[in-house]
Amino acid sequence: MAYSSLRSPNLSPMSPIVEDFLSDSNSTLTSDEPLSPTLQPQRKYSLLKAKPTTQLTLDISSPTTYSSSSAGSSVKSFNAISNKIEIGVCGEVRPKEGSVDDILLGLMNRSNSNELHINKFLSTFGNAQRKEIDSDNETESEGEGIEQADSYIDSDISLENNCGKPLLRSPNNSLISINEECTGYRRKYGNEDPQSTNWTRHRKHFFILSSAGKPIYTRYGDESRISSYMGVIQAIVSFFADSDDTIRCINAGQHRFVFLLKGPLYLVAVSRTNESEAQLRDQLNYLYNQILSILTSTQLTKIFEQRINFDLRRLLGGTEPFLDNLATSMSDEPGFMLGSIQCVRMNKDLRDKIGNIMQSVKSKDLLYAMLITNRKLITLLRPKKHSLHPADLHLVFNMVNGSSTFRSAESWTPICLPKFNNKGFLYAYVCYIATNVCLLLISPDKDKFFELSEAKSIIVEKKRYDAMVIQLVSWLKALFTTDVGVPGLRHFIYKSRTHVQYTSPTFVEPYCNPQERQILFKLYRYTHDRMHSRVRSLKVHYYVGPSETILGWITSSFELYAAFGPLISKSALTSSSHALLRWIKREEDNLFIVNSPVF
Amino acid sequence: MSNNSRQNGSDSTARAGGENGLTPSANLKPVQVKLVLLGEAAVGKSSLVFRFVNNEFQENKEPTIGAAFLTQKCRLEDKVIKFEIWDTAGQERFHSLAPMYYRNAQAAVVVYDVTKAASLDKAKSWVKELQRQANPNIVIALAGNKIDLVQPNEEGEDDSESGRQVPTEEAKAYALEAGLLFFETSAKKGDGVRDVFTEIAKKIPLEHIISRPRQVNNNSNQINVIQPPGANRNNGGGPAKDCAC
Repeated sequence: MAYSSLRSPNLSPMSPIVEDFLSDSNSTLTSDEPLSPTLQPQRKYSLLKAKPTTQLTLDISSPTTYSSSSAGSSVKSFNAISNKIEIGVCGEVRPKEGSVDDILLGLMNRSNSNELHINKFLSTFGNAQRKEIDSDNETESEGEGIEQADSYIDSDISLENNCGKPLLRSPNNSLISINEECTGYRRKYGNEDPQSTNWTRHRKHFFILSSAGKPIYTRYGDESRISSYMGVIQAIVSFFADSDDTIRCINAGQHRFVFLLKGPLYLVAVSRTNESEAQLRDQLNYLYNQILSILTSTQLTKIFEQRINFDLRRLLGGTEPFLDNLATSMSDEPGFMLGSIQCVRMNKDLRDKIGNIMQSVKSKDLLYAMLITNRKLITLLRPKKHSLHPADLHLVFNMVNGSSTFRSAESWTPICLPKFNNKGFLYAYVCYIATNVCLLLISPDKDKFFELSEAKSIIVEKKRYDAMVIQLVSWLKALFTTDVGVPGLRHFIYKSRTHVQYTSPTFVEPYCNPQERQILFKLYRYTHDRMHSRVRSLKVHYYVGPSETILGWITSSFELYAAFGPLISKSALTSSSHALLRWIKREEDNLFIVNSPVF
Repeated sequence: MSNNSRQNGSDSTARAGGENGLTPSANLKPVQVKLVLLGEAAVGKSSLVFRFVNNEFQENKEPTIGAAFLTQKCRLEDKVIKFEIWDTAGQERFHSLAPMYYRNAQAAVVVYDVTKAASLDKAKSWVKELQRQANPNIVIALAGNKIDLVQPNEEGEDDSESGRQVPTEEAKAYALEAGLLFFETSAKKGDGVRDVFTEIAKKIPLEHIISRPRQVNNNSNQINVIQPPGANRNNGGGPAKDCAC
């Protein structure tokens, strides 16, 4: 790939990021979390090593204490677990060796001499060279800083859909996956064999399993064929649970395994996208919310209280498009990372006019009313005392966007919005009133379809409607960087913290192809992580890479991520960003829904 | 919806006679018939409706979410009938919502897949539920869909015929016994789809409906279930077998 050489780390100057990390790692070592004397040199060692050794043993057999940051106060003794975690070059460990039974036995049987062969599971994802088991221990992942900074650019070149080899050519195309059989919906990667290299090459896997170890969802492949991996995940989780601890993250070479345990559900992300633990955990939370929005937490708990062994796939049947769609959009939509939503840039007057029309159908059956297009909000009506959480809005967008069936008819479906109320369903009336404009009316009452359908007719027939739609569609033209007219600016994301909305121009040159976009997005993601890191968050982050300069800037009212050319001077960058902020301030009424109409 | 988009497709043999012109004669007040489609997931409920309403077919349709509401006007002899169709989702998680859709319905089409024996069992349980809980006068039609998969075609006749898991006679006998209309259909090719709706229209006591305002049935039904969503899907429990491993 010609591209990768262009972006190779050799070309990258010693960027401020690395310095960041250097200073950061110092602060890590002196942080309030007491590290074991044996662990500390070990970590230093790994920090200084540019190339990981082939055989590295991380010995945590001596008494180790560390704080559990999520619990906040309790300092736990890790004495009980005296283990030697054998770490090898995982590429060498073929999946055939060390059966699952071995792993389970190894995990269950906690004697001093026991060696944990977690390798099989970890190695499935290939090429992991160094591992750190990190259970509730914040500092460990920080320790990886330098290596990450080095490998940051080059390790992510091959992108999900642009790998050298075609991903879709699975040799097992003849196999029909369960999903296909029972829903008729053909998942893109539904029949990949989990033993195949195609499956392991995916850059980010998501797994959801029940606490009993039953597979519920996998982003790639077929759930029923990954049950042995699910067994391993369950074993790892329960190994830590035995000592009243919660596993949060394992860093293994390029891969990061992030665990989110939510009652009867375990969610795991396995990623080599360099996303931080916190970011991956956010994504797992979105997936969890997606499941809640299908089932509600009441139902979920009840099911598993009654039968711990329940196969949840039965109830989730037909919802794979939502989970798949969510998993994909989380990789290329800043809204999830920023915890905010995007609305359509349009004239404030027009937005108000539309809001007024929708307001005219005041009905006590109506809780929320919104008009959306392509994952962007046009307007939202809400009751005076309830706002709508961005996470819930993402679920709504994901539902509307995730299924084409809404386009063909008026639909009525239960949906749980977990941030609104995770215990019960609301009912959504979904109807496209123009090609890409979707009207969504949400009611707490499941019998109100016809009332809402009536309301829709009123909205649609309302005077000037046609003119409105034409105007609307013409306004759906996206925002371009050139509209801003700031020299040197290539792209930006601006999140208004007061409105919990963000705006971002469409990608144009030089971010036309998805690969470029991914790289830019990765830089944004990285900047975001540096500025939101729990250890030492930054207010301003300035990064010069081989092909762009990224500015991250957080104040109490906004977050700005802006991309400039690599050669821009600091002073030019400063004045340009101020110009950008001024422009946004001026356009604020059109870019954001400043005051959403209420009932 | 697109009431006029219906063209005369491959099933021009429909017996509704002369509705091809589709003159929604303004002076004829359409008779509203509420119809609900029920059946296991992926048997082709939406495809049947889509064929009936738009005379189109989509391969690999995504599963319906919740329920979709469509309407279609038809002419039967001297009357205009407006079908108000609830196309429900077949997934188990939506089961508890079904009463909401069938409780005022004058007609139900219970669909199964002729290539899947289990789907007939599911259809039978829907019929049972309808006969127990729905409007006592409801007209129920049983439709075995996807016969295009088992119809002998030019090449490989034996192979395709072997795909059938529900013999016509078996389903027909059951339909007779339970007092249902019976059809075999292909939403893909359009075979038999129009017949389903035509026969239903013929069987429904239309005069009866005309004489009464539309919402009359609203209160008269016995299952105004205040059932929490999912209430009846838990007692069944999961599949006992350990299918994951």
